[in-house]
Amino acid sequence: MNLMIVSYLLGRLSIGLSAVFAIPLMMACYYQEWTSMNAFFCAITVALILGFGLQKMGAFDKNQETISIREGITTVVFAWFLIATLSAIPYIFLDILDPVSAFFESMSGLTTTGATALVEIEGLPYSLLFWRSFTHWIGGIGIIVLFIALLPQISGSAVHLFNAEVSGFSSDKILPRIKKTALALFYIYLTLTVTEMLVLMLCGLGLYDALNHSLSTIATGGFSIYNDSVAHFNNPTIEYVIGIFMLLAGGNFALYYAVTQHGIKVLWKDDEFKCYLILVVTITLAIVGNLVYVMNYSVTDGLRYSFFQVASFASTTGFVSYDYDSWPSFSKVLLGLMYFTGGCAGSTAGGIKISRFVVLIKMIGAEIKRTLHPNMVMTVIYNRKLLPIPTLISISRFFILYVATIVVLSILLAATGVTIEEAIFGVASCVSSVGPAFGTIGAVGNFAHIPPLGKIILTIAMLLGRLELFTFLVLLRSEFWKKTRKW
Amino acid sequence: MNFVLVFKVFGYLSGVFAFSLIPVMIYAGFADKSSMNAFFQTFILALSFALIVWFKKEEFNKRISMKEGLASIGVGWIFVCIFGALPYYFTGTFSFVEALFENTSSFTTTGLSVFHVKEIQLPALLVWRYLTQWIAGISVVLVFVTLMPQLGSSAANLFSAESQGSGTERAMPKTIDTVKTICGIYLGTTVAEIILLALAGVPLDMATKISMATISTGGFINNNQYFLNLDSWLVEAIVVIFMIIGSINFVIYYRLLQKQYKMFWDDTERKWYFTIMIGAVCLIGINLFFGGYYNGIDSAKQSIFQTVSVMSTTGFSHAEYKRCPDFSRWLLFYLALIGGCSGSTAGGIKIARLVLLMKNSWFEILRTIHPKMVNVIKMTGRPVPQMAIGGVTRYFFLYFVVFFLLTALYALDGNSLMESMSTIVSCMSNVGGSYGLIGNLPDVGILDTYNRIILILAMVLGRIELFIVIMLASPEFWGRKRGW
Repeated sequence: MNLMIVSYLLGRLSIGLSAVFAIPLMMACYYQEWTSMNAFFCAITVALILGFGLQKMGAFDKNQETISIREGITTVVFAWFLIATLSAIPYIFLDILDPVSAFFESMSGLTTTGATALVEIEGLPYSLLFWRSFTHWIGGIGIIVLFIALLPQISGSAVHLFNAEVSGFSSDKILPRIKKTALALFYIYLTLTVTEMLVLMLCGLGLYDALNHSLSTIATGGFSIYNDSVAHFNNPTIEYVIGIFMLLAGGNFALYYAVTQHGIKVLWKDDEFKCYLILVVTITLAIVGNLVYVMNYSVTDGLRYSFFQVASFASTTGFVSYDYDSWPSFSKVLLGLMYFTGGCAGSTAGGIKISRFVVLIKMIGAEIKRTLHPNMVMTVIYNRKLLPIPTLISISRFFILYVATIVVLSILLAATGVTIEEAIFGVASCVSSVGPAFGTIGAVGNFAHIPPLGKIILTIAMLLGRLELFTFLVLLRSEFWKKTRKW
Repeated sequence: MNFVLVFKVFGYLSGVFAFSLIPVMIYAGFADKSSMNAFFQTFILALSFALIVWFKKEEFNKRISMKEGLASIGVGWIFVCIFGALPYYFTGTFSFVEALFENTSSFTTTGLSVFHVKEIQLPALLVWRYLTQWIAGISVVLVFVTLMPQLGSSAANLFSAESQGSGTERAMPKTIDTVKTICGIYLGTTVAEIILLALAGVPLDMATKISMATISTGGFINNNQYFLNLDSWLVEAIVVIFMIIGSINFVIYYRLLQKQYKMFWDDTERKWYFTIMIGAVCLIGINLFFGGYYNGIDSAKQSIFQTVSVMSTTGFSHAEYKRCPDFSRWLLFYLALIGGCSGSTAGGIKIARLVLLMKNSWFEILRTIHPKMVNVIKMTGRPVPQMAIGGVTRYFFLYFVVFFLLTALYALDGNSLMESMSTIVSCMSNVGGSYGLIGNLPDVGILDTYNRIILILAMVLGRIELFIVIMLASPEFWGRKRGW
């Protein structure tokens, strides 16, 4: 592995980030928040020094060298750590959070998880709250995708960088023109964000509120600028608007690109999108039934709260419009299911992804047929295509690893002394990038009281979930680092 | 499908069932006249079924096909669950669902019981309870050894030393021989435990009850505070050893008897079972000690007893699980989910599956950098066929889905989230005693009918190979042959 390339790329990324810091800096000027202006200025300085340092140490000649899989993976994983560390600087500088919590907060932002270590959100500087939402937006589209789309240097050999970060299993992952794809994704992302902002403003929100919430929504993040999240507005229209945009953000962005090319009917031909909608509708109705029957809600209220909460969990956003912890446990189990299903592949959502789930369920059917007819070849058809056996194997292994990750991390988290409920739901919520869980870290709670070691475990959980396990876990294999290759 | 065969299996089962009722009936005649009637009614019912089948002579093909085998297992399960419940029901003390719950718990070696609450004094019924629990243990092992390999089941094909490499054609005499030996081992270990416990000072009737509950990993004894009150490390040590014996693949013992000692040491599943167990004992012991819950020796005793009890899915409780710190309880929850070795009387996902899944996934990680890489996964030195690995991964997913559905259904009745999760795991893995491992400890006796039915489902689904249940429920199975 050529560490020079990794160093060079990380350096460029760091310099790129310093430019991004300019946005909250300007905002701090506008709102005349001088201390936070200092904070961002300091962050820019650190990012620049680190950036030029790393770039100087490394070397990359794009005409001579290509980025291999190993370098791609190493770069992506270290990039996430680097950016998360740099993004944490403003929190530390302003003395709002201790370093571990600040790292937790910024990783939670970048991985679009939305779990917060802040107890009191209202009253913080405007520029900092904007930065908090903005980390979602950067992380949502993907640090690397952003990098490829906006920076000209490395587009030629970015395939492995791109693959290491983008979610889903389909063969569409390896796209011929990375740069074009990255740009297309970026434009859709931007369009959705701006649209939501305008709609929210039409519904009567101020510019600042609308901006923050739409950044957070489209990234499926879940940071709000209010302590009680979206419940603060207490306005059904706004909840439905945000709900619908959350659902959209949980859909496949490549599919939306296809919609711009071939028209709206592409949506209904996609197995994953259909199942996603079916899942959301089914679970919403089940919860409405449960709420109306057990809690004596009116149907209107039941629909309003359950739709928002289901959309929030299904897209792994994590906004809260109602204290769902007070709901009956049946509803909570259904919400918990979404920690596993997650959104669609190719979206900003986390979790196992609907497409994988659909294939897994189809495989059960295939297995039944195969047991009855032992010599039969197993076939699974998805999106009118026959899936190759290696893909099937890979998907079931992903599922096992996902569950195993939750098991191992929750045992580790429980060892730091938190309660069982916090251990399992905290980890499940962070791996799937939803954010809020149940109980003390639930709808009205936060992660502030989790011990530092526990926060680090949760941070790793978030990154594992965001990079879809393999990219991160492969670093743990000794084979990855060995110089001699038998291949 | 040849229904005659299924019918015949049904008839044979009723016959065996009727005969196994005779000793209990005689006992009831002496000790417990009130429940004598209940047993007699069940006996007549079973006998008449057996006789109908006996006289209705129809020729059938001796070779069992896949579908017939599956249907027989399905029918067999429904039969024992319902017929075994009849004595409880006929006494008039239990409602039908209660009776079904008690009996299913017994036949799945779960060990949950409504006896503690009913506080009934029906000794014959208790004998029946212990006996069915003990028979259930050996039945599970025998079904695994004899039927599963022939059905091409993913589980059996993989692990049992017996079925490896022998393919589908197996000489029947050899099977019968195996069955005899394994029954002998089962009986032998039970007797050995009774003797050891008696030597350690336990009264003979209690020793018998405990060993029947231990070897079958059922864990039902009608005094669940027994070990706590006795407080004897010697008795606990004996019970721990026999719980472990009950939760290891019985085929291994068969191999030991044939002097194939290497087989025992090389067995991947056994190695991992002990590794995980020792690891868990250490972690829980440390947690108990440093958490300030017990002193040094008590921590060790507690952690060994509880870990083994949960891993072997026996479910004896030594102290209240509630007193354990959260970390220990969470670990025990996962151990319950995993369960013991395949081919044993234990329930759960099974160590062999877990090891295979982990090896498999650990390898998949490498494919990130070498997408074309092919690897062979070995268990006990033999490569595992790709198809079997696929079967296990799908089994795992199915287990997860079923677990989730049952949890949701159980929660529908207003049980808390943690309580639902732990209760369902406890039932699906047939642990039983660890009921309320991570939630509040609800009383089994006061559950309502709806919850009981969910738990019965959980116990049965956890015990039988999930795919068999799903298959029996699929229209594909009952439909006519289409193009094959």
